[in-house]
Amino acid sequence: MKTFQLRLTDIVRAGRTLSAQLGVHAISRNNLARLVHGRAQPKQETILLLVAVFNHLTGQRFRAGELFPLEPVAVTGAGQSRHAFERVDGSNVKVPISSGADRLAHAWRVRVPGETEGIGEDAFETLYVEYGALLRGVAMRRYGVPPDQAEEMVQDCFMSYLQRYTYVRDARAWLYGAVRHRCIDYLRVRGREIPLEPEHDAAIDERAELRRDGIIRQLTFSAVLARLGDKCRETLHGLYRGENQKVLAKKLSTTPGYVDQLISTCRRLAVDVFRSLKLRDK
Amino acid sequence: MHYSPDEVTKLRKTRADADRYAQMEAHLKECAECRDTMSVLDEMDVVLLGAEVWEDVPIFQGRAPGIRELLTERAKIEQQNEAAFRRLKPYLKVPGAFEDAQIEKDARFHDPGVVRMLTSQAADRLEKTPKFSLQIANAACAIARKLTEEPPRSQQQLLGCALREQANALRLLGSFREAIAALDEAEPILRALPEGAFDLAIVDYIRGSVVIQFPDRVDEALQLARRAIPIFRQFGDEHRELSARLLEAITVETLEGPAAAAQVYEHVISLSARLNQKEIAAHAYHNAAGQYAELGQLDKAQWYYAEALGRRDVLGNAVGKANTEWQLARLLVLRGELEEGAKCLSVSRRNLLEMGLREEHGLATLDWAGARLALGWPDGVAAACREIVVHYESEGADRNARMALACVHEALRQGTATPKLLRDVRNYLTQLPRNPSVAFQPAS
Repeated sequence: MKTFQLRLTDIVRAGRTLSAQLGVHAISRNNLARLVHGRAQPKQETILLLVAVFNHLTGQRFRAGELFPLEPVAVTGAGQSRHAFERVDGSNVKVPISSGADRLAHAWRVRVPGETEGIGEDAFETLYVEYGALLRGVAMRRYGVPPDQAEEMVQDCFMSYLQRYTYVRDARAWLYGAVRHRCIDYLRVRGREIPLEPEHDAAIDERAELRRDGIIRQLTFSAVLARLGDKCRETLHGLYRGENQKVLAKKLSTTPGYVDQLISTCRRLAVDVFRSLKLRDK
Repeated sequence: MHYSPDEVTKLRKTRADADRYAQMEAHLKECAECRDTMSVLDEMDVVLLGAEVWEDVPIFQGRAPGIRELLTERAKIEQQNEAAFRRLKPYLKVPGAFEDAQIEKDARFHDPGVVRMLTSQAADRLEKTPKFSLQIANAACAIARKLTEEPPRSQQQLLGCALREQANALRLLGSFREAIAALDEAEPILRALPEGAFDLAIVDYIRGSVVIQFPDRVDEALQLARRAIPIFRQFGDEHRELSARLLEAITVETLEGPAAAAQVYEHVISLSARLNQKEIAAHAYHNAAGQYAELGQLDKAQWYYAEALGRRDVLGNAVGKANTEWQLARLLVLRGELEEGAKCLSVSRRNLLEMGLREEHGLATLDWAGARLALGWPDGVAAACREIVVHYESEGADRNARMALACVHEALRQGTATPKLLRDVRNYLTQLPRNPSVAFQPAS
């Protein structure tokens, strides 16, 4: 709240609008004040509403874990994975199955600590959403595969992975190899030149090669930018285009002094997102 | 105390406060977190100047295409596998229960989840209980063949993988021809599948591990290993790459000599260290040492044997340790330290005999005998050599080995035995499995 100079009334007002849209209870000023001063514990719906409010007001894409001290714990129900969120003080906050809060589920996702990239639904979805996008980017940028075909290729590779997951050790490395194979076949069939790849013969460490791969590097930062809110993205875009403080301030409808703060915050957030993506490293 | 990125950037740009700058740089040297943050920011400052990084942002926005279909498929497979595992669990505890259940004849078990779980269980049990693994793999194959109502690709995938595990189990049980037959059936099935290259690489590796057992097919084993290695690398499967490299190393020893073999073993050492495969690392150090000894690089050989010994000691690998100690003793003799070498070889050959390693005991005895003769200490040599027992699979090799040893016994009886004769017989016996029909020719 301090960083973005938000007042309690700003949050309550935005909360009223969003709660109606999402079908959850709004939050009163008193309740919010108690939460802020640590005199009350938020319910799950409140957490989800407040996350939506903060994202709406700041233009960022916060996650619940960044605003509240939450730790998710996977609980397997009858053949279906659910997530119960256990707070660090041990109290249990369960995600309701059918409520407005559910509609917010796709807007944020909390990683399950210690979860491998196996076949759990959330893990698989995250793998496809984040890593699948990177692989599509590689197919398009390095091999010149058209977007539609790149999309189909990546999806097929994920399907193939599902058939083999019991004996594939490293899902990401396997998927990368599968997509690359398909791209090379695609080029061969069309009689096109296969682009030079990062040197593999000398290096034993394939992952080191991936880290040095310029295209992967670039796509990873594209993924980072995609996860930032519009305001942060615009701020950073202006910064790297060389726009000065005054120009940025005008564009963002704010003061030059606040622009510096915004740049600092957005860069810090970008680093956090980069770390959380785990696109390039284990 | 951590430094914010802004502070670091400012201090680096202005350097106005020299003390604070020095403190900051010292902190960065110590603090991995701050160093990582600055590293990401430095990278970002370069990458975000380009236009493409901004143009590609839409790739990562919006709902991922095809996600519903994938999640549906995932859920279906997961449910099938969980249900199958629950049903199979009671029968997987002991081979008898599994055999009695006869699940391949029970239609309730005829579904893809069962085949997947059986294939997976066969793989898990391969090294510890290969017979049970084969039983399970056989059932997987039988059921996979019955799933004619499954989409063809799905059935092919299931059958191909089941055949692969069947071949693996047959290999470990020494049924090499049956293993090859299973692989011959699996290969065309897996070739037709998307991403079949990966599965074919596994088939190549298993086939290589089988054909290396036939002395006239070592070359084929090398080709298969070399075909599999780049595929495993491309698919990021370092564990399988390691296995294939080990196979490559063993074949290169025979076909290309110690210099080439040493290089491959270095790859294996590096990769096994990275993957924390201690047993394989120890094995690779031991074998690499042997290559360096052949190349006359005795210091390096000694160092590598020491590395292998240390690792095998920690791992509690008594057999491996005994083998390495024996080779270190031989190295002493090679270096001219005959007395010490003979003493150590005496200990080694006793250890090897106590462990039931007859073949190794025989060779170690010849090494010891050679050292004793070189020292001019023939006492006990003839008696010790008479204890040597040889046994080879091939009748011809067996006969030729006995003839070679007969030369040794006769020479010792006549008092004409030399260290060179013993060395020649020893080397001949080592090479005999590869050339079983070649008789020993003593040097005139």
